[in-house]
Amino acid sequence: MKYKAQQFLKICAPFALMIFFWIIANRYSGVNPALLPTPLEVGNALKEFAISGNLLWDILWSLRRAALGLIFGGLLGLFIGTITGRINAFNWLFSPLFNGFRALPPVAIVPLVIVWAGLGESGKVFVTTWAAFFPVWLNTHSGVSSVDKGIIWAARSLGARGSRLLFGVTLPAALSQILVGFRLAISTTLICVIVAEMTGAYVGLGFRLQISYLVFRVDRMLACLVVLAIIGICADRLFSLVTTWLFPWIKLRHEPR
Amino acid sequence: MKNKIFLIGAIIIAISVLAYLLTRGPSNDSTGKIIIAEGTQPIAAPIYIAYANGYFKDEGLNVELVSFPTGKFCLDALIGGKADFATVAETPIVHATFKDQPIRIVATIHRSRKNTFCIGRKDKGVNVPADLKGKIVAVPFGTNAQFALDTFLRKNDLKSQDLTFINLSPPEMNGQVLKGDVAAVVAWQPYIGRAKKNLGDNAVPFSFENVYEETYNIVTSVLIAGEKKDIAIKILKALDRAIDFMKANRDETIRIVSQRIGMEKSELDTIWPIYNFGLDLRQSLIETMTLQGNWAVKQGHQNGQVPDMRNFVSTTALKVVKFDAVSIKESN
Repeated sequence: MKYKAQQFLKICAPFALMIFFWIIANRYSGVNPALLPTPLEVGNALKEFAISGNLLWDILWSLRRAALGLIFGGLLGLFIGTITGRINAFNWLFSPLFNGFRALPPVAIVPLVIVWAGLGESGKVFVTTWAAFFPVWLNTHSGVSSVDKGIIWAARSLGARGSRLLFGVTLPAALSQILVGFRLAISTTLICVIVAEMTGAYVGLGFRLQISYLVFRVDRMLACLVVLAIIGICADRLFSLVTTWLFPWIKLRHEPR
Repeated sequence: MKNKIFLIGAIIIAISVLAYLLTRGPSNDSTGKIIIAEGTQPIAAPIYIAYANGYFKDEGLNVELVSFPTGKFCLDALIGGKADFATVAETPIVHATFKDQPIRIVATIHRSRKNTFCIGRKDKGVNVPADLKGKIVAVPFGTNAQFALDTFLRKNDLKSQDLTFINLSPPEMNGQVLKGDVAAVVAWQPYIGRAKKNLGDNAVPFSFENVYEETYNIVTSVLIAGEKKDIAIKILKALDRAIDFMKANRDETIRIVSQRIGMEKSELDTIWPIYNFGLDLRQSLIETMTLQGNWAVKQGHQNGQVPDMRNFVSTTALKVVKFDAVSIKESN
């Protein structure tokens, strides 16, 4: 019981501290209160969203776009990362290009995507796929290329070749790094879905955030960010739980104790 | 080891301070610089003319113009304390009044019934307003264009729920109009004019002339409108002179505006007749803003009672410059 209370306190304490400093900043910083609403005002804005029915649809659409991007981008990153990690010719041919594209901010590519792909879902899913691809590709490439050569030789000496070597030895050895890539991709995808929805959308958390800005509703903007933060925390936690269940021998880096 | 940590910490702090100093925006320093946030549109022409011809300097003002893509950004700069004046249409001001922001409109510098309108696409089955039902329409949300569209729909017995609206800023609309993702777009000049030109015979324009008269306004802080009203008076004097110049020197005005905002002179020449420049504060501004306040509440953008818009207008400065141009009765 005492342990559970301690765990509960550990989870709540950071948020309680954040709300405390938020109230202090609102009261004593001298900032225009319209630009820094109180936690209560943000809570009321969240309640408004929930009652209006917009909140659920916005969350579902944003999650849909992010999930599709994570799946497409993740699988593509995994596939290409494995190739560039194992085959030198593909590495020196494609890695410099990917590293260059990786540096492009999503905010810069969204207008281009709108011009090329239009306002439909394909453009938004392209942006989230773009966001998911690079962390997964980089970490897969890094994990696969740094698998201990001794393990590979040992497996080959025992007759392992081709797909058996890849799926039986290389990928399991690189799994920890690959999972880090997917974990990073979750947050980059959530960031980019907001960016993609700020223009040319009529539903989604990013759309709601942009509209709130345009009509001077900072309380609603913060409410959207709170929802996004909660989604991010839940997605990360869910990912940790699933990977721990599927691969109990893997300890993800930076896992809180 | 300790020395290394201190050295790294000192480098990080130095870089942060340098980055802050290098990226600081314009601010009111002790030299008395007056910053005007302008929205990079032809309708801000009086500002450009006054600046280019040195009218602000003649009034003893050290004015700096800071460009923003829309009036909403200009208003944000004013509210955030980064500008002393902002040029903005009435709709963003209306939204700010619900948060009782310390701003005051000191003059309207432009009005038009033809600056904003809708373009439909024939190939998307849009020939008359009723055809918009069930279609996707691109409009910049939270702006006077959205208000004008809603009013236009009501006048044509359509409801907002009959259409799907997509939020798109005017510069982004041209591509979408050409791609055919949307059946219609609503924006202001020059963007809507460009969309119409690019669509050619496929364009079906829906005028908003009978919908409402939009205004472009000079807004300032409560401090400048009140205690420091001399600054507002000088700004308006310079603008009044600029408008007189504009009326007498059309070609030169177009040249200056074209250079300032990067628009082709020929394009400006075509749309110039729709603009009506003049300094005033009319009662119709209050009525329009109140209507928009009611609309904002009905749309769910704002809550509560619509503020008394007269509380956000200051006629003091304009009464000194042009007494007859003021027909608004300020609130007590």
